[in-house]
Amino acid sequence: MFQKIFLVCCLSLLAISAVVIFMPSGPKAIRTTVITDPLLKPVVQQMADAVDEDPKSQKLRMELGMTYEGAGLNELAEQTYAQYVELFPGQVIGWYRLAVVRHNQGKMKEAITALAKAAEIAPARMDAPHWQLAFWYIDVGDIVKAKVQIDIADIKQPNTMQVLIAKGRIALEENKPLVAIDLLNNEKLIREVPDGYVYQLLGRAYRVMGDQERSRAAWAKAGQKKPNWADPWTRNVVNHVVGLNALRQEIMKNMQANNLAKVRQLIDEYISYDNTNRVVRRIDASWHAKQGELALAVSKFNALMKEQASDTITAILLAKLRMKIVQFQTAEEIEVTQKMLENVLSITPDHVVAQQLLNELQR
Amino acid sequence: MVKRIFVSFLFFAGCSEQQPQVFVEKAWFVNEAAERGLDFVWESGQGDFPYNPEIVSGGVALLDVDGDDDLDIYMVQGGSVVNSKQKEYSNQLFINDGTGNFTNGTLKSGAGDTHFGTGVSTGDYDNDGDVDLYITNVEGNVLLQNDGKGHFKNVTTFAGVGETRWGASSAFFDMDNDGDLDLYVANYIDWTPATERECPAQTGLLDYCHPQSYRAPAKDTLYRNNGDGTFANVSEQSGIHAVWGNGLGVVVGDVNEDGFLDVFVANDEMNNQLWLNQGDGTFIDDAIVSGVAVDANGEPKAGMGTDFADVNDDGLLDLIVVNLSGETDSLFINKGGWFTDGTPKSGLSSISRPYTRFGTGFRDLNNDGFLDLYMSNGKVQIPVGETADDPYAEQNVLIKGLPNGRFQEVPFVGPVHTSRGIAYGDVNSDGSMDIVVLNRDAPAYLLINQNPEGGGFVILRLRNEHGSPAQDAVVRFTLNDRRVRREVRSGGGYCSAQDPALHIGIGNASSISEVEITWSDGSKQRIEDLRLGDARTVRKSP
Repeated sequence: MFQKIFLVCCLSLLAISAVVIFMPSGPKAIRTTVITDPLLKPVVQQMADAVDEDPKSQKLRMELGMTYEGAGLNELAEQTYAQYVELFPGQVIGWYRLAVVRHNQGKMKEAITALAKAAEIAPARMDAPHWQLAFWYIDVGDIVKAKVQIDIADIKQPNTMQVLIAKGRIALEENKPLVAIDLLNNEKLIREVPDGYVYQLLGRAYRVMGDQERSRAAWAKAGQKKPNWADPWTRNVVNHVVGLNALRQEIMKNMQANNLAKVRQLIDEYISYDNTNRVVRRIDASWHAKQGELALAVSKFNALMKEQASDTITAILLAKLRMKIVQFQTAEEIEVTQKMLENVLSITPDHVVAQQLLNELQR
Repeated sequence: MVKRIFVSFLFFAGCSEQQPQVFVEKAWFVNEAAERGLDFVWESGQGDFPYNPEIVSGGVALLDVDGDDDLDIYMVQGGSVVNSKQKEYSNQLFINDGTGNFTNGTLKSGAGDTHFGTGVSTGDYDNDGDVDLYITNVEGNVLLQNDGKGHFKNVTTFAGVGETRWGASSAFFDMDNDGDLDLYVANYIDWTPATERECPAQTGLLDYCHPQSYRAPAKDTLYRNNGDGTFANVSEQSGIHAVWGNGLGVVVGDVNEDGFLDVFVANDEMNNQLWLNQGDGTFIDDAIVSGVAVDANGEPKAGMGTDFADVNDDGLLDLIVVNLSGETDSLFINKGGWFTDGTPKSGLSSISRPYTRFGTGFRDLNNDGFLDLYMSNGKVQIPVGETADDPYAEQNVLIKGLPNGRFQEVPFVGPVHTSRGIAYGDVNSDGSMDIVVLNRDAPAYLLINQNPEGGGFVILRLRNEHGSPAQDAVVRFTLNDRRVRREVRSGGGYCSAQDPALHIGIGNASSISEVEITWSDGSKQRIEDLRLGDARTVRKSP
């Protein structure tokens, strides 16, 4: 009897062990209810489902983190990367990305801790965690540690532009302008580093030496931007930027560059996903006007107004457009425009633009 | 009424596994706005469509309007940039009863300007011995002349200082050492409601635009005092129209010790300007070569509040500029007329980066003899996923100054709002520095200093020959083994005006000695040592 009980116990233990060993392990994917973006939401949902189905997959969890990061959801990305490094502590990329999203949130100390871990486990020829860490150490004033890291980076990949720039900055921090000039006055470096940044540092170095003339000359060639150092992974994040926000940014960027056709294509694409965003719909109508499709523009503005008569922004845009179109210059049509503007003024009595347009119309 | 403890924290030090030592540090401040009668909400007027002034405006002044030797509070009001009811929103003046309790004295004072206001500066422009107010507005700045009893008269048109561009910070200073106060006005962007743009944020909703979206940086304005109650606009001939930017913060000081006051302008996402006074009525922008145009990383930042002070006891004016979240503060260390970016070494990088900082200024807030910082914060765009009632709200930051120009954050928890201008001054005359903080769409704070470390203090009020605060006078004194420099400045910070009295923390020392005053005309005066608790007024001989 006792033997039977013992056997049953052993078998049960074995069965439990087997379940434990073969069940998927790893924390559930980080999810959120705050995403309403119709493009981003399903992508994230799908990715999170995939992570939950295969919690041990490095690739899936990293992709989810990068997608959060690309969408600017740094806290969610941080939580996801934190899970990743817990599961895969030997992977440099996890610590690196964790560091970057912490840095994005202003958590300098925590960012440095994570990046120091990445540097610690970085393979023999991987220099990026070291020079990046050196720059962050410079930013928080820890020059001793910055020097250690930049020396390691230099051994791994000698004389890269990041190494030379970091060494130049360290020399400036240490009040050694001659050393900085020696390092930075290098044509190849000046050519390689974007935005004329080397000239800035040279300008500073000459100023420290009291050579105002050379300082001014260097500053005259300097840009006023920090180079965006590309580490091997940050570029990957760009591939994970999905969502309507990304599309909106793209539209804005192309609008600023006045790329008529591209803007049209992007707006059409956007509206195919989300035809409720009134901001984009206004841009859509305005862009038709810009493209000379005036009737279409007016009809889209009219549709917006029909949906929301109190939308003063659309009313102003429509009124402005109507004032430019010959067909709307009859007494009857002018009265329509006038009423439109009066309606704006009834909602916002001191609306300067509405008043100006109305005055113009009455003239 | 229940007192809200604004600051309370546990500070662990010297812990060891065997004998943990834990001590509780006293709260630095308690918010007593409601108890003391400061009832003010800065109204942004935010509606469906965001207008930029709603998110960046709001200043406060601490000044003695009625000559009774206590500090009154002047709050600049917003309202609605496109609303006919704007006239219902007026700036507010709160009169101190001498104990740090306030009553609203706006109606009697005539100081209730009803423009949509941005900032305020203080100074005795007419040399009649009382402090006047200059208010920067979205459309049409205003000069209010004080009659010495706290009654104000709008003299803008007569004085000729009615700049109509959107002004941010301004500062009274004597640019030509002729004994009267001139006026510098930093204009933000060439903006009207008609030029507002639609800027969808990451959230997909309309939000406040980045200043560069307008591509309309504004030229600043410089008015020279004619000495007869009027000013001449000398912006062109002075050279300050050579460069322009999105100016938000202004601070004045003699950075190169040549006897003429220079002007620093903190620009939003553009190079800062350092207008070096040439002594002949002209200025040259030397920010780039002086090393204060951009930070050590080479980037222009979103410059907002700013202040000058000697933080490392080398006798020279150092400079702080506070910026947007993701960007560190810039603490520029003066090396003798030019600067290095000393932010990393100061410890301010990590402290400042998470917040969007607006108001700031160096003052000794714990009377230990070292200058501290308070920063009023609040976002300018709503982050994705933000669900708070006030999505722009951020924690303000308190930073303790340490020897050798280093700083350390004093962690605290407290109410979180969207804060803008702040003003320092001792409103209850207890010898420690209090702070008034303006909040966007939320009640202002009146932070009463609890003198957390029990440090001693002396107070020095410097008056010019007319009896008004001796703007930009410099005091040098010996405290223990340090030679310390402090100055009389009502400007600096963000769109606000401070009490110009010098509150000097002396820690455990019993006095300050070898006290030397350098008046703004360069003349020097030695005065007797000040002993613990002394409050002395020194008037410049005519």
